[in-house]
Amino acid sequence: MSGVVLLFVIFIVGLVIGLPIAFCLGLSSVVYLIFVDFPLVVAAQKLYAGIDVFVLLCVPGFILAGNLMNNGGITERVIGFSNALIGHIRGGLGLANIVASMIFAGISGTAVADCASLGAVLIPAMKKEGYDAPFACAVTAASSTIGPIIPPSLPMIIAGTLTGLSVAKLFVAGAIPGVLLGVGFMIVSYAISKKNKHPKGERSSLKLVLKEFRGAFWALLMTFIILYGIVGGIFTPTEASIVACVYALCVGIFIYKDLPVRLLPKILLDTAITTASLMVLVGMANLFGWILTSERIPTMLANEMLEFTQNKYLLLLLINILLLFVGTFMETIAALVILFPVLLKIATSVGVDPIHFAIIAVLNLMIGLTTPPVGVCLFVTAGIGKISLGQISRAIVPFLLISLVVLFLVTYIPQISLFLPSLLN
Amino acid sequence: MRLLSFIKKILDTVLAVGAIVSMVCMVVTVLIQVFARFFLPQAPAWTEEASRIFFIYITAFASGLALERNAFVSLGIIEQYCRGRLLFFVRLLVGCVSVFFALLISYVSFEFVEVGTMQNAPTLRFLTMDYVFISITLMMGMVGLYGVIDLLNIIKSQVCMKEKTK
Repeated sequence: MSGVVLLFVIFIVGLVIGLPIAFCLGLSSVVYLIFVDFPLVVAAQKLYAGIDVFVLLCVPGFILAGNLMNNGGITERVIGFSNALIGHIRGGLGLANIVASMIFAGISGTAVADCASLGAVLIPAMKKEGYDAPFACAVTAASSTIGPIIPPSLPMIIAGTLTGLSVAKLFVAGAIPGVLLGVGFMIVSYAISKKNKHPKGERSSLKLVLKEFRGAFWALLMTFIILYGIVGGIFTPTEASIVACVYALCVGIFIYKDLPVRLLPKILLDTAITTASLMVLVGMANLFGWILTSERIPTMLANEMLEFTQNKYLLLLLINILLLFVGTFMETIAALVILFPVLLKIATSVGVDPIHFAIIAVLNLMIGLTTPPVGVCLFVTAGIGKISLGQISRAIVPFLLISLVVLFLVTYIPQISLFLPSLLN
Repeated sequence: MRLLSFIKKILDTVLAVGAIVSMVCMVVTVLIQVFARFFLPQAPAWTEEASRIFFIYITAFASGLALERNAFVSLGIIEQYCRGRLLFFVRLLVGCVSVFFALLISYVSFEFVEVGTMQNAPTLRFLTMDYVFISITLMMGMVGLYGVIDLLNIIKSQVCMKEKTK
């Protein structure tokens, strides 16, 4: 048995028996190193080198900024503003849910966190207003997937770090696809609400809209600071994330006055723990990736696929199907660290722009978060809405279909992703 | 048992404080970098390296706590279909493999730390790299230690369940 076969066998067995994915990557790599009689100290070196990357500091930065904002009373204000803006349309609360997710997307960068924090407020409110629970849960789950597409985005930081792509360009590239996804969800939500005669709220007076805007202004400003700072070349993504933390802290304590100082140690610790779980994964993936590269696996795979077809569009379709399948049962970051560097090699060999491909990959994996039967966001919202997985699986279908339409557009019209990054040049 | 839980409580606190302090230091260091670039004639060179070191120490301190909170993602396909004794053995196997792996990496990282004694940090010249590289020993060591605690809890809960059924 060759070392590479052993590497994959142990990796797959580990996954199946429930070993954490980070350890599957590490253990299979260590067994490989023993098999080929290579010094084991390289495992520690690669683990360290995988984490010792300045741009990865964005990860705790944006997680901390999101946690500070969430605990600082932003959720209700963003929802209030979105509702004042479009709550008077039929199914307005569903639309407000999507708009709130899009605003939230500019702050946190993770889908599951957005899903939990917005869902906890919006799903009970929608049920109370007379919306059916499966719709309320489905619209929350679907819209939360916009989070990691619109910048800032944790998956894009990881994708950039793994492959040396510019995180700033990746962030900017996600903006139009994210907005497209949001608009698509709003169209579907409106159509369903009209068909099912969902309630509509009263039209808010301009005075109320302005009042709610003042409440949400500081959250919107944070998105602007992050984006303008990165795009304008004022901050690196890492610096932008830390500035966002300080901004969120000041807004929570001094402006909203909803962030108790006694909560800070818990928020910091929660951020550290989430960061640690991701960084061990990234470090182990670096070791695993180093072995794959030294065995020339990505090149071999690329050659195999190119032998099968050199048609760029067919190849992208195959990659989309693979990523959609993997995204249904594997956590986004884990799937990204395992597959993205290998697939990028294949995609670029047929002339796909790496930034464009990164957006395609992240969008695929985000769709996986709401794909039955194992989409994490489905579990989170079904739990909040107290409905079965079967009910939400049926309700999510129209949103999934529109996600696939957006994925199709993003895949085959590269300008959607590449227009804004081209302005950066 | 009481002594063990007392030691664990102290360990939890030390690691949590270490993670929080590292996080605060990382934020402050990056802020110094931003401030210096805007308001000082020259930005210091050491801030980038220092912030990376604090960042690695966040991971080192918090990785054991992450294992305790089940923050490491897994697929667990078999676990979903197992019940009773079989589930206990699968969990035991996963726990043992995790502990063995974590402690092995922690052990081999000593050689890496030794290499660090001969190197100085590029910008923080007073710092030899062993103080940085030892973060890997701490990281995987803590994962191994919390893995052992997790194993003990799995065995304890199985024994309790057996006694209940008796």
